[in-house]
Amino acid sequence: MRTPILTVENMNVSFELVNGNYKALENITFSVYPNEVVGIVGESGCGKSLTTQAILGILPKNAIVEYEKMEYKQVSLRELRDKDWREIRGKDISMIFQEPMSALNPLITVGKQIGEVLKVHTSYSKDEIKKRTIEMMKKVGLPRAEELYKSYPHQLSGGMQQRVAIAIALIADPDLIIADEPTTALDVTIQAQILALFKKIKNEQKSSMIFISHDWGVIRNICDRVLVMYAGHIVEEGAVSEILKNPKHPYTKSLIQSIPDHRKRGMELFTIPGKVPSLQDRKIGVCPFADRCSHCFDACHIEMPMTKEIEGTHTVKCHLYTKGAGLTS
Amino acid sequence: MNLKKAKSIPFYIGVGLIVFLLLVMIISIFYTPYDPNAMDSANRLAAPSMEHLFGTDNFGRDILSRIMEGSQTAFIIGISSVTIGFIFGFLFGAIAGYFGGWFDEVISRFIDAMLAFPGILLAIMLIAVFNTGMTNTIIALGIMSIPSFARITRSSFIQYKEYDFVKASIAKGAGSFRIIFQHILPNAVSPILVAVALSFSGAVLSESGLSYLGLGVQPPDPSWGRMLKEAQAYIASAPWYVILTGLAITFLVLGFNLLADGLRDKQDRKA
Amino acid sequence: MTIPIIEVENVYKYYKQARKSFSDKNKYVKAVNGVSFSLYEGESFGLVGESGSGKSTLGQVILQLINQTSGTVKYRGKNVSTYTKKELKAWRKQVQIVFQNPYASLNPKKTIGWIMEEPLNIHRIGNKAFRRQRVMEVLEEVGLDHTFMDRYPHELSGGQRQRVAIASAIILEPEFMVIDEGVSALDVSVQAQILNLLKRLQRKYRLTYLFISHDLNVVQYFCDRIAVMYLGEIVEIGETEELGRSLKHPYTKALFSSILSLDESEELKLLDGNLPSLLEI
Repeated sequence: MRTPILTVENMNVSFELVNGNYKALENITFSVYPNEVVGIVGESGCGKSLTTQAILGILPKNAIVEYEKMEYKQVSLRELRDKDWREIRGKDISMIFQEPMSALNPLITVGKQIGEVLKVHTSYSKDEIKKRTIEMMKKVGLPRAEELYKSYPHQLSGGMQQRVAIAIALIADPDLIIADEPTTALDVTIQAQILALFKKIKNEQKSSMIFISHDWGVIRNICDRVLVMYAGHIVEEGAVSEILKNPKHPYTKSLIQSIPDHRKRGMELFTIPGKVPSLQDRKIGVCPFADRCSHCFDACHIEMPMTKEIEGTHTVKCHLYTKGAGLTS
Repeated sequence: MNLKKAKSIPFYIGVGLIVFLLLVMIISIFYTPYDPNAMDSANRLAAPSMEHLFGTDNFGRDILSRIMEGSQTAFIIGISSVTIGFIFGFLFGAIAGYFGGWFDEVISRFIDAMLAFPGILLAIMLIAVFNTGMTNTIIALGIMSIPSFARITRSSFIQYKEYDFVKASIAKGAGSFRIIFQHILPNAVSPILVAVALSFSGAVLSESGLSYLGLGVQPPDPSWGRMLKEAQAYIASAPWYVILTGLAITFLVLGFNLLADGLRDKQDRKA
Repeated sequence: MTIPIIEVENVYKYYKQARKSFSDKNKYVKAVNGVSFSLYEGESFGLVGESGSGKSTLGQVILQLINQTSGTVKYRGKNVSTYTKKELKAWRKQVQIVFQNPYASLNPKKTIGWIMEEPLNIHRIGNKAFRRQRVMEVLEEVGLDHTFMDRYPHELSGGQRQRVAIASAIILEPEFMVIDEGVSALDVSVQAQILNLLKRLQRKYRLTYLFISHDLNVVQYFCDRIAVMYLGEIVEIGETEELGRSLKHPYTKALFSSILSLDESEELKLLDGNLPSLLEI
């Protein structure tokens, strides 16, 4: 593929808590290419949101970030000053959150909030901004845009609020959009509409996206490539269709098997024993999934597995493929 | 972590002030340097000295002893009136919040009506009807604090009544008594405690105010408010009299206010 | 499967809306608008719909946690509104509810042991020793051990809390349970554990479930029959297999086409035209 738009190499994030330092993310390495949608999937507490927050430099103060490389279009993100960051956020990289209401200012009309981005980043005239704002509102499927321009966030439904949040994220035509569970709080029919909107954006604006979700259904429908995260590690990575068809990591495999649907009716669902370890309970330097894995053997408790290439972009971090016989059945 | 500690400092100052004044009050029951009512006409308005640490008043009475004795009145009035306000306020608030509907309508309108009067005016009105004196002051101040307790209790009850754990318990067959005392009350304790602390400081202040106007506690019961009124006449010749008496009131009121703030902060942090 | 355990007949629940001025007429929100259906012993009945469709209200009306505006709910043929206070309490032993949010459904000031024992206390079952014994048994049944008894809800994970909520619901060995979005707030792997647990308990106690959820994948996996609610009404009802094959109501079609399948052959179908009534509310 072409040059990546975003490259992250060996990023580590740890938190300084009262009783010591805890590693929240380890050796995070991935790239996002132009016009590509990369999904990050995993259960809560695995570090999905943390990864994107580290990239955007919006982590809490007690977080320590180490990295070899963290570049957006050849610019090292961590070395940017606040002023440069303000230039990038919103214009080059924009963000969409799970709860639209918390991302919108309740006291400002939605039209103003969408136009605000242009006011900050461009020298357009007032009329030009309004014109573009209304165009963008129509584009994200807000009906009666002229009328809605003057309404306040609380007067809109959840789905419409999320459309406003998306309009804010899109209006400056960013090259990278980071969406953190943007459809989780919405009803299923609205979710389907918002996903369709994201697809349209991808095709029309040619932007790249990082799409965080815990829902494999969402990931399959919107993403080209997916990173599977577990306890602060990327344990598997590859094209979505390939991973769904042929998951290699025992965690990925169990996760997919535990999703209920009508074809599994009457059958016992596959479950993973135990739960995701909390930050304090994680073991360092060994496979993070070893304690819950039914395929684990000696090596898993001794060292962290290396990244193993399966096929093309499909890679996995599991001793079964470096030292063992692979995952059977 | 440090922020949390820094935020707790005023709370501990408040607790310290209250504990200190409580000790003074307890000591005063058994011991005061002089008889608080013993006059000494040869020694009127004496400045603070080794014999009279806080000086003497216009009748030559020892001010320290009188302030110590006055703390008893302050605490008795505070505790009694808060108890009255709490019992009735809680009862009304709980009924209004828990049962809602018609009960709520009547009680809420009643509370609104009471809140429409400035508290002290209400107390003055009640005293005008019932006459002055310790007991009547307590009753008046107690009635004055009913609305604030009722309002806080009512809103806690309305809030927790809708919680899933309350509904789950009703679904298991729990009766109103169990719901109120086992489920809602333990969760509503902290806002009510804040109200208790605030209302205590309010009562102390109002008592001083009433006594200052001559409507509160009558002689021979000692009262800080009445002392303040007497001291006022000698503000130029014996400034320590008015300052020391004022400080006693300030410390007690401040103590309870800081305590209330601290409790509220703790509660907010948990939420 | 012939005797209905629950019969819902023409149930309406209207809420009066606050008037904005004196001249306004009374307006009502029709949360449940004329619903009838029956539940049979031992089945899992799914109630799906979006937020605001009235499914949770209906669940609580069936358990008489909310009083209906009109219509009747029958339990084993008897109208539950005619129960005396004593009968109502006895009935509450037979029916239970598990809520969505495991963080709100347990009293934060009580220990797990206290919460578990409460139903036994309410109905004055056994002595202290018996009750403790029973609590331990049921905790084990849902995959927790006795060390949880002295802990408080905030010390538990979401999945563990949901297990406690389920345990305190089954301790009285009910016949009928409403699961109101009981697995929606959980991660997939934990959700699978809880769904398996509910299935196992159903077999053991011959439980009947009213399973309320917005997640069609879960409902289609879990339930024998499904009813679709839309704006307070049941617009479609049927056996799970059948319902998936032949959808009639336009809303149900829209809903089912929004299911995000993992199956390669099933592409997400895009609905043209919004569902105005839901969007505008």
